[in-house]
Amino acid sequence: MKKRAKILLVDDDEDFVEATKAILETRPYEVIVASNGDEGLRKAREEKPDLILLDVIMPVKNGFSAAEQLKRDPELAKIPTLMLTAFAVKGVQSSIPVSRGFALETEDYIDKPVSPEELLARVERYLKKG
Amino acid sequence: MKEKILLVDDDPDILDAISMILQSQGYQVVTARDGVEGLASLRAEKPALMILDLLMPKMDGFAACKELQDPRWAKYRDIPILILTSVREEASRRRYELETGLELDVDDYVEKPVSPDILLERVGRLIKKKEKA
Repeated sequence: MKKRAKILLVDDDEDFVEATKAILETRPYEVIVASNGDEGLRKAREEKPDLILLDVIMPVKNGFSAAEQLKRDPELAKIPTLMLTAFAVKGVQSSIPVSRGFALETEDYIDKPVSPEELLARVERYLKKG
Repeated sequence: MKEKILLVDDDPDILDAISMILQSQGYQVVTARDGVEGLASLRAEKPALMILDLLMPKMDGFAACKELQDPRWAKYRDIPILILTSVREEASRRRYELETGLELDVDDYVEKPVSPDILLERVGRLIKKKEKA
């Protein structure tokens, strides 16, 4: 039997986490949760997930800083990372400047709120690529 | 002595070079090395213009711009902000929108490297605009 895909969900909004976890668990996915960027990075290292859903706005360490650290780490950089944002994403994807000499290229941006179908479709698409 | 300009950048070479360019035209220059120092200087020095880098340690330029939207900074809001950065304008605006849901509210945006002439022209324009207001 194929191993279940492991998804790391990093978001400080408990209601969103609960709802999203429930949606993801309708599929054979194992869901791990972290509530800020630091915890997310730690769990990414420990659990080696197959995909990361990362909120942009969080306390302690925001999604951009966490994603920068993920993408700088050769071990973690290959994990597809989808950014969750409460502000509508429009237009073409462009790299986001996060620090001197580092522009962030994550796999995708997902607008909140997102329908269950859309969320699952995106997750599935990047799991397949990985 | 001409107007006072606050220059915020974490790169000491940029601080030196831009200070020299501005001082050559008689402007007074105050410098800061990150957003925290920059906002403190803004309060203390009340400059005629702030030139702000975006990517800096501690508090970066994005966070400084966001902080300035807070009502307690209302009386400093008439100080024009010129962003001076090596990051492309479109990419910066996009990041700010994703993070805050707001448009980056700055008076001008200049990409590094910039020639002294162009920088001085843009600085002069903003200072004139402020005097008229």
